[in-house]
Amino acid sequence: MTVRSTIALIALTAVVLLPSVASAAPAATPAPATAAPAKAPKASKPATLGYDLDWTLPTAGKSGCNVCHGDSGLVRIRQGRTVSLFVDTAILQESAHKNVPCTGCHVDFAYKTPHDAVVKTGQEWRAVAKLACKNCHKDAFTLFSNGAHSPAGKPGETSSTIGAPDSSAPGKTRPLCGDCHGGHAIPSREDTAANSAVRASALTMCGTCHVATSAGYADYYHGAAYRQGAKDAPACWQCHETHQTLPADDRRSAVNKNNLTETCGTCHDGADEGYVEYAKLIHRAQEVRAANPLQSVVDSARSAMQTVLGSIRSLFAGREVQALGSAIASDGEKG
Amino acid sequence: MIGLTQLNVWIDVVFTVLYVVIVVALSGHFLGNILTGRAKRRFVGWEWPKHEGGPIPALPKLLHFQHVAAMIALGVSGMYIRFPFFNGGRTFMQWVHYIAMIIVIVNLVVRLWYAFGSRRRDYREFVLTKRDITTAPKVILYYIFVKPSKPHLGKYNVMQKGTYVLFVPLLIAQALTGLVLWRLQFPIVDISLQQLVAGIIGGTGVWWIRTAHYVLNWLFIVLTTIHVYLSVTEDFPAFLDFFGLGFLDRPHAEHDDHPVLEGAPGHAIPTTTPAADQA
Repeated sequence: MTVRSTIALIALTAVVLLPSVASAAPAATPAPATAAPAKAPKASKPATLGYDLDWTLPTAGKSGCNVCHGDSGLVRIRQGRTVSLFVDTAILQESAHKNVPCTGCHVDFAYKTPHDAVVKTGQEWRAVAKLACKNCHKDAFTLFSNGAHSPAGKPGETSSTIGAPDSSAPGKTRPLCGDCHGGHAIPSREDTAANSAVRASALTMCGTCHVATSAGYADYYHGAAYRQGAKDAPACWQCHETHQTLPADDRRSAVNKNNLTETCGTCHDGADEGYVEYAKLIHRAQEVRAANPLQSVVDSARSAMQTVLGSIRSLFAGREVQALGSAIASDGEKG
Repeated sequence: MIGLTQLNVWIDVVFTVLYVVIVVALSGHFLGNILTGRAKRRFVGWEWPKHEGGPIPALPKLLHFQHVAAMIALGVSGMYIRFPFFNGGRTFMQWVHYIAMIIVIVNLVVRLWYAFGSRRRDYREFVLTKRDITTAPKVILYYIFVKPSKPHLGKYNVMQKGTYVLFVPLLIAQALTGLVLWRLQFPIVDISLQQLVAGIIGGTGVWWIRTAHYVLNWLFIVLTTIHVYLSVTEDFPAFLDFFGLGFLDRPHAEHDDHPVLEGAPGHAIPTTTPAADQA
């Protein structure tokens, strides 16, 4: 065998073996979350230890990232807090983005570990990932950019850190796509159960910033019904728009007084100007009730009734505890 | 002028307060029954009014039983639709409301036929006569413990007649307003009654109908509460008999609370026999 033949053989072996090295990577991912041990997972590496890998294998898929991020014990200490960097493969595989490579959203990923550039900047990498949706969902992003949540802010605004209109969450940053839609677990359109769960979480999602407005969503047919899981009661975005959410005083807003007949008319046939007067009650039911002069009588009667019922309940509970004590005591004597 | 927003709250508040007042008043009335000895005579001594006309026929009893069950279902499901007080179940409660509504409407039609079209034609028992009106104050005085007995002019007294007759237009109005609010999308035509009506009278018109439906619901709750209380305290055997839990005494020509008015003009002397009733 000549030297040239030997070199050719080695090169051929390398070409054949390289993909198998890459494809071996998924085998290193842990079992799905359901099979995870009950105990808190132990970090495979000390949290404070730096990585000295140069992870430059040309794997476009998730396998490469999940060699590390598929480890449920992967954590870092950040500003004194232990932060998990674990990405559950099982959840990811159920999501709408199961075929999107990690770098499809984490577009700023540096093919180096421990991703020094992003770790040093703290939240920055999250912001990039949370806004990466625009690369595929252009229409939604255009609407989002025209709305009150636009990351660019309103004309004349210099900072994107501004409180929600009801001033209940001062200092909150404007939400990015991922703040509402989540990250790795965004459900596919076909996953009706997961989408129902997202719909049911509207008050948590929007209420994180719009605290007072969400708390006030308690009228008969909308808020109260929605809170009890009614399918025909609207989630926040069904009235306020999904992406182009605008304050009520903006003429383009779906909840602007000029547009209410149309907005309410999507569910209520024949909604006219008189009808939409009810809209005042949707977020202000408690306020309107409190302003009613007779409401205090009802509240007093209700609290009196609750006191009486509570006393009766505690009386019976006391007797039950007494009876249980006697039973235990008699069992003890027998034993 | 009060807007729709305030009116919604006012209706809730007024009727809640009214209902509490009525429950307190009925409790006070029962206390009156105890203090005057009426309660002891009835529930301990088992002295109840003598009944004329024999046992109540099966059909009105069955209709009444169905009506009670359906009205309770309507009240609970209707209140749930307005005040969802437990998690989930909205669709279920809407269907309960729809089905109970159909039962009540069919019941009403059958009962009206029984009253006016059947062989028995018992509408006469409910007709308010001149004597009923003139003796009404005495009946009221009996209920407020001023008089020891009330005039007896027939199977039902003036207040009973008035209430039972009032129930008919109330039920018709409640059925009509309920049908207008019905959001069930009918197949083939793909439209609901609400959509159809909203197209004619507009959303605000539908809202007023909804308000009327809700107010009528409260009237039913109030009147039924009083009806149940008086049925139990004034004629418990008849109450039990209506639900198949007891039997009334045999037909009796005399009555303990109308000695003076026996045979007076307007006094409906029973002409049917138990056998005829059962037939």
